[in-house]
Amino acid sequence: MIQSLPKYRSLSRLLSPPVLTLLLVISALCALLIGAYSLPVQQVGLVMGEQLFGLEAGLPQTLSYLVWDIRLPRILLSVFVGGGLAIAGAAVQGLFRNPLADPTLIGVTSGAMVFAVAGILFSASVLGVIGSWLGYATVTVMAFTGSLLTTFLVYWLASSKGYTSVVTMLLAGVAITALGGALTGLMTYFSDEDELRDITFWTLGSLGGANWQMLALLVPLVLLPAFILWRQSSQLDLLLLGEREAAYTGVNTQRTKWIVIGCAALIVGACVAVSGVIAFVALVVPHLVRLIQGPRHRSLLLGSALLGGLLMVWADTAARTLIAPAELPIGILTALLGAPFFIWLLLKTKRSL
Amino acid sequence: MIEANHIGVRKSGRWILRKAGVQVRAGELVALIGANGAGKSTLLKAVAGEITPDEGAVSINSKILADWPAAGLAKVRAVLSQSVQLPFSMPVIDLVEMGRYPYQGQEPGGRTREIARLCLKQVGLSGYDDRDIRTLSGGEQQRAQLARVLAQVHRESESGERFLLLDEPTASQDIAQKQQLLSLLRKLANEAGLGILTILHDLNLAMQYADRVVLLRGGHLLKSGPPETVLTPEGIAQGFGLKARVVRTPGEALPHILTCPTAVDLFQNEETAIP
Repeated sequence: MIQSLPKYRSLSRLLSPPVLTLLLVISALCALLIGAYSLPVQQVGLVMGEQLFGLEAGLPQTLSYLVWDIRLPRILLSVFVGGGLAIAGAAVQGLFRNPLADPTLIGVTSGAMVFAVAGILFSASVLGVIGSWLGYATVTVMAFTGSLLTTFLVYWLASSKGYTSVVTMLLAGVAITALGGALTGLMTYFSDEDELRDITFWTLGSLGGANWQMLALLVPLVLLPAFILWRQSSQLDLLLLGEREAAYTGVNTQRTKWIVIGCAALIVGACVAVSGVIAFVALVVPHLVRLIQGPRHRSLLLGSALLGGLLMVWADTAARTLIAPAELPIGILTALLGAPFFIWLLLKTKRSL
Repeated sequence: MIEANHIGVRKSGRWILRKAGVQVRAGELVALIGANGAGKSTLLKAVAGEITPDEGAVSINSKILADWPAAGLAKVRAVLSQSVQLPFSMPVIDLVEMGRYPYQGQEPGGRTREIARLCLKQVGLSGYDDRDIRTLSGGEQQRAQLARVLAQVHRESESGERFLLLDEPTASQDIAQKQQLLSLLRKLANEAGLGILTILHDLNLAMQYADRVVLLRGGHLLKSGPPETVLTPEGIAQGFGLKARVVRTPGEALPHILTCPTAVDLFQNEETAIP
């Protein structure tokens, strides 16, 4: 338990939004150099110059391809997926008034996954467009529908009169995850080899499929809802007092609730559609930011987005270099790091459960 | 002025409040009293707008609650529920500033902080700005929450009637703090012209500080008026089923209520009742 808050003030300045942004940019640039093939700074600089400003440098095609079409989209994807998941997690935790409300733990990711897998099968068999923009769009729409439905279901199950029962919330998550696992398993069982590869990739979580088309779809679907969530900061602050007190203070709680559920579901759905299930980012990151900057959402949401992006860049860099030339699915990596953290958090909040 | 007349609230087919009502004028401190289950909280929630009554209507400053926009209503009346818990650690000053939500974008952030400090000072929590709300004692937390609702109806130049609705604000306060809290409410009513409706359990506090007392029993309005006319031995017997004496001490303006150890008839054992 924090006794008084001032001692965190210096750390809070250290991890202020400008500093985090700077760290994020530096990390992204570093990540461009690191990989199965390490690249020297000048070459990466030349590729960037060539692509951004049309400066002819006469570089080999493969180098340009590696930097511009493989690594850069992947790094940007990790920034947006990490930031998106973290900001969605922070907002959902505020809505549920509980630090354990992680989209993965409460079943939202699982719901998104079932629908995403259905979307993969659908776009492959009916539309025949898997891997194209339309294919991603189909999967995204499906994943969004799934995450929206499950968020609403869990909220409805776990809340009464504006207060959330943590136990019900987590149990609902267990039930939905089990159901989701069964349905995904069923669809896996009946899918052919190509579909199977895609589904496995989704369920383990990976940023390996990154390309510019994917980014073009993901970026607006993360930025816009994230901005709307951020504009609800004061309302989310007041919801920490409970729905009733928030309403007394002039908050339109129904409206806020729907905005938060909708935006968080949109972000989670979009992230799941492009990268599969990457657990615990949405749990760990907002918690760290809350420890440093306090629970007020104006700084919490922004800080979570930046720190989420930052951590994801490094997590993905680790995922693609640790066992190079092979790759670790990033979902496995984040679960390995996040699960112990969750247990620690559980122990810490055991009394209040 | 708050006017709630002939309020009826039904819950699963049963009237839990019927023909109850209360009026609160600006500058007035009204105590809502009654036994547990008498409908005090329900009436307060109806006045606050959380419950829409099945019968009757509540109006504030001659406007029916349903016609008030949420933000406008929040500026003229603030509500403090009995126990409000925060799920996360937060500096006390941030909590109090949250009360200024209805004025967001209408006043500079520095001014919001000044108002929050002022309200903390009023409840006796000066210098608590950076303390973590969750490390305060129950009584201090309750006062910090009171500071938050005070901030909500704090107004500088603009006049207009404003009201505070409080659900048992003296719970978890010690005997000295109870007196301090009620004198603060008295002062707010007298000097800031706030109209205050508060649920109280302590009849002596109601006697000492309230302008009027509203006594409920079984969801009905039993008696309403100045404390000395409501808090009589008969009133207390009817309202609480409790024998009480009202004692005047020489040199003191107000009488004291002494409750006696025997229940009137509610809990009386039949065997001993028959001689």
